[in-house]
Parts: sequence; structure tokens; C-alpha cells
Amino acid sequence: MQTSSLKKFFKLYSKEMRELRPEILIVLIATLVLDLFFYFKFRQYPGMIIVPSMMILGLVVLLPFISSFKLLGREWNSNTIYLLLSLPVKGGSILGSKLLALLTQYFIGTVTVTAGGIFLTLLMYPEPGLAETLRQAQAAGIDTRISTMLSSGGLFYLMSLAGMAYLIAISFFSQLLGKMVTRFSGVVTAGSFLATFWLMGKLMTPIWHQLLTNFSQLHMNQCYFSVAAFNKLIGINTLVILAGTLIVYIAAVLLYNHKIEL
Amino acid sequence: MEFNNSQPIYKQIIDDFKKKLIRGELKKGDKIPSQREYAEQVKVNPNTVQRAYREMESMNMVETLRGQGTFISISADRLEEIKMEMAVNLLDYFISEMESLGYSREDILKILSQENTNREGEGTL
Amino acid sequence: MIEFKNVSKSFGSTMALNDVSLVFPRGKIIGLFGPNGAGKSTSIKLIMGLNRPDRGEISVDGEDPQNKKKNLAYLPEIDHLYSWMNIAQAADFTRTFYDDWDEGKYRDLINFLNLQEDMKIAKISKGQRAKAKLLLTVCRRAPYLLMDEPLSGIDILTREEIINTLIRDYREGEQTIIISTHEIAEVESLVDEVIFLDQGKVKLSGNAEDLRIERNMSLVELMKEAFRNAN
Repeated sequence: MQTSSLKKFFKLYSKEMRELRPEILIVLIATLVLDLFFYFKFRQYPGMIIVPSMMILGLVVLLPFISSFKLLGREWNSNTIYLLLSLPVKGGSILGSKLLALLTQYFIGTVTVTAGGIFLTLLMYPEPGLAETLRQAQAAGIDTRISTMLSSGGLFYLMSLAGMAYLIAISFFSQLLGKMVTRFSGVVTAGSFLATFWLMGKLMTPIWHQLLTNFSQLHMNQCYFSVAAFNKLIGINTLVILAGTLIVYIAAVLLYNHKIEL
Repeated sequence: MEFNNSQPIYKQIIDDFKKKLIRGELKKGDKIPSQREYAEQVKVNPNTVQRAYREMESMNMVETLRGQGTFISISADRLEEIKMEMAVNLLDYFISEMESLGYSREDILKILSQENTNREGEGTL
Repeated sequence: MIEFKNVSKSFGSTMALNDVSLVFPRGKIIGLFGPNGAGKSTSIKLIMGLNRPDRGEISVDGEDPQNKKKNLAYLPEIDHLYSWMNIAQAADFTRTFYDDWDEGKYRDLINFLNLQEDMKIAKISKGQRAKAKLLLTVCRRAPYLLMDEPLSGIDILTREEIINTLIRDYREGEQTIIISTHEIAEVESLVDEVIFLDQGKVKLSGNAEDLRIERNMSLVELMKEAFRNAN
């Protein structure tokens, strides 16, 4: 039974991945083209290196959010919601597979852009070399141990992933609310998106403040930099965002299971 | 086979078998199609065919042998009865239609014997 | 057995079903007849759990339809398949979700219906799409088969193929088929039981053969008469 529902989930997930294929390809191609363009055209201004990566990074962050509207809304536009709703699976699998696919899209995009950026840097700055850069950083008082870099980078990335999931969950929730009315579906979706975003912000901010004062001695007016403190801050942010995501996601699943009809 | 949809279909299936028996197209011991085959042939709900076959069994027209199929099992006496029954049914219909047009029994008989002589005349020509 | 107890359902100001009580007996082919807007599609969607009743109760074998989806095979009137899939992909998708998928039947039917696995849903004709939908629905050995207007907008030859397929694969006694259609003449000899709906109410229901014996009329004539009396 367990394996079978896993199989069903994976089948849904691979369907969603197939639907996202064009967007993922766009990101891959855009990265390649922009990086090549900058490599050949802007060699003489190595300071511009951050530009292409930042441009695509914006796209990479924006796309999964936009795709979340396509992925769910299209089921209604193409009548495939009749197929989805008649499947013997609950909203958890349906929305979960879509969420996971969108996060995969985000993952692939960010990894591609980052890898492209690093590769470009290495190509354009053969000097002073990686080891020399690290040594200089160390001399400037930055903790350059691999483990520290990985944990900070990893935590920061997790936070961005949680943020993405949070946006997607709100997108699903507000779209489903929109589907419950026969007219002005788009207006209801937009309205409930903003309302949910605002409401969740109201709910999460005090918790975030509380956690921050309780668990870290980090205060806004202190301006020394410590990796441990930074990690703590990011960790708390991630947890608060994840909790918010969970609340909105569960609300969306409940809507799908109990309120959505055709 | 075309059905008249204002009559019960299972009865029309039975009538079809009766006619085949009277014409001699089917004889005692002949195997008839299985219910499923028959349903597919005439494009009728298998449940309706089942009802017709069950009725024919209770009328002793056919018998189903487990694992072998359904066979005509009608006795000579029963066949005569069916023949008579069919003839009477047709005549009933004919007479009531003629009467509804205002013909008397005598008129009907007269027309019948007239038709008979005409047809015999044609036959000898 | 599927049961409706005092079911009402409206969409906005339109009353689709109005206090309907009904029983769909097990093991029968049941025709759900009535003009457009009579409540046929809504009835089927309610059984499928795609709609929820405003009032009353619906049960499939005594349970909430929402929990019986694995026992229900549904053929909607609209095209509900992913258009970017080909038939093999659509079959593969469907197969994953149902234990009652019959691979042998699928192979057999795909030939019988003159379909090819590499046909893309978006690129085939309307008749072929109707057959593909039928293929994916009847390949399951589901105890309940719900078909919403399976013949509408389909040419005569394809209609015949669809009806032949239904008769060919019908499992007497075990399977219940509910067919909603306004084209009664096409399914006269196919249905056991009939339910005539009009404006969200049951006008007439019963065994098709018994109705013919009682009234000496075909189902088409019966329907005409029922609606003449109504107006």
C-alpha cells in the first residue's frame, strides 16, 4: 500500500515535470546564451561579471512562482481537472506533486545559474586563482573553512527554498479560493493572494521577533559579523517561513479535498 | 436482426427462435450461440439475452448443458404447439385488423377463398 | 448499489437536481435520459464525487462517493485527457492509479477500436478522441462505469463501435453501467433500467422491458409521452 501510493505520487510528479519542461529549458538556454554573450562581448570589463548571473537569477526565482499559476490553473482551462478529481488520490498528492515539481524547477534553475556564474568567473579571472582568493579572505578575517561555508551557504539556500515554497503555497491556496466562485475568479485569486500574504506576515512577524530575542543574542544595533550568529538568524528565518508554508499548504489541501467542485 | 422497440426485446428474441424452429432452420440437438455471442451478434444488452434464454429454458425449447453450451431440446409435440400458437397469433392480428376496417367474418372468408382461387390460378399459369 | 436520498443541487440560481431519490441497482445497464439541462451530468458528477450535494445524501455501496473513486470509472462528456500525451502515455498514467486495470483488455480494445498507441491526443479526430476516452475507461474492471453522453457529436460508425465495445466487454451481474444520453434511440436495446429526468426531477423510472410490456411503447415514445404530459 505504501509503495503503491509512492508510485502514484511519483507518476503525478513526473507529469508535472513534463509540464514544466519548456520553462526549465528556457532557463538553461538563457543561462548559456547570456554567459557566452558576456564572456565574448564584455571580456574587457570583468567587473560586469555579476550582471548576467543576476539577470537570470531574477528569472529563475520568478519563473517557478509564475509556473505555479500555470500548473494549477491549466488543469481547469484544459478540463483535465475532471481527470485529476476523479483519480483515487487526495489533495495532498495532487498539490504536493505540483509543489515538489516547482521546487525542482527552482533547484535546477538556481544550480544552473550558480554553476554558470562560477564557471564564468574562473574563465575571466584566471588570476589570482581560487587558493589565493581564499588566503586573502582569510587574512581579512573571514572564516573560510569549507564546513562553515557549506553550512552558511546551505542554510541560506534552504531559506530561499522555503521562501519559494511559501509563495507557491499561497499561490495554490488563493487559486483554489478563486476556483470556488463562478465569476471574477481572477480577481478573487489576486485578492486572496494579497490578503493571505499580508495576514501570514502579521502572524509570522511576532513569532519571528520572539524567536530572535530568545534564541540569539543578535541585536539589530550590533554590527559585528559572526558566522554563528548569521547562521542562527537564517535558521530561525527558515523555520518561521516553513511553519507559515505548512499552514497555508494544509489550508490549500483541505480546500481541495472538501470544497473544490466542478 | 432488427427489433421493434415498442415490444419487449426478450420476447422478440424468443419469437425469432420460434420462427427458426418452425421453418426448420433449427432442429432438436442443434447448438445455439452462447448468451454472450448472441448479445454481440444482435447488439442487445446481455441481461436481456439472459432473460430470453431463461424463458426458453422454462418453455422447454432449449436446455443448457454445463460446460457444453445451449442446445435446442424441443419435443415434436411442443413444436406443433408453437406452430399453432404462431398461426393463431397471426390470424388474430389479421382478423382484428380486418374487423377494424368494417369487414364481417363472412366477408373475410369470402375474400380469403377468392384470394385462394386467384393464387391457384396464378400457380397453374 | 448507488443511492440518492433527497438530493438537491443548484448552481447559482439554477436548480440542477431538486429533491431526487433514486436507486441505481447493481449489475445493470442503466439509461439516464432527459433533455439538455435535465440534471443528467450533475447526477453523474455527484456519484463521481466531483460535485457535492447541497442537501440530501449520496452513497456508493453504502459509502461516501469521495472514498469510492477507485471503484468508479468515469467518462466525462468533455475532453479530459492531457492533450500532450499520446495514447500509450495516457494509458500509462491511468494504469498507475487503478488496481483494476486490465492490460489484456487494453491491448485487445486498442486493436478493436483501430487506435494506435503513438497517436497524440491533441492531434486525433473527435471520433478517435471519443474512442480513446472509452478505451481508457473500459479497460478497467471497475464495478461502476459512469458515462456522460458517450455518443454526442460522434459519427454513426463510431457510435456503433462504442456500443459494440460496451456489449462485448460488459460483465453481467458484476458491473453496473450508467449511461446518460439524450439520444435514447441509440441505446434502446442496450439498457436494462431507465430513469427519465426533467428539470431536476425524476419523471419516470423502471425496467425497460417491463415498461415496454406495460405501455406498448418504445423508450423514445415513452420519453416523448412523459414530456408531453409535463407541458
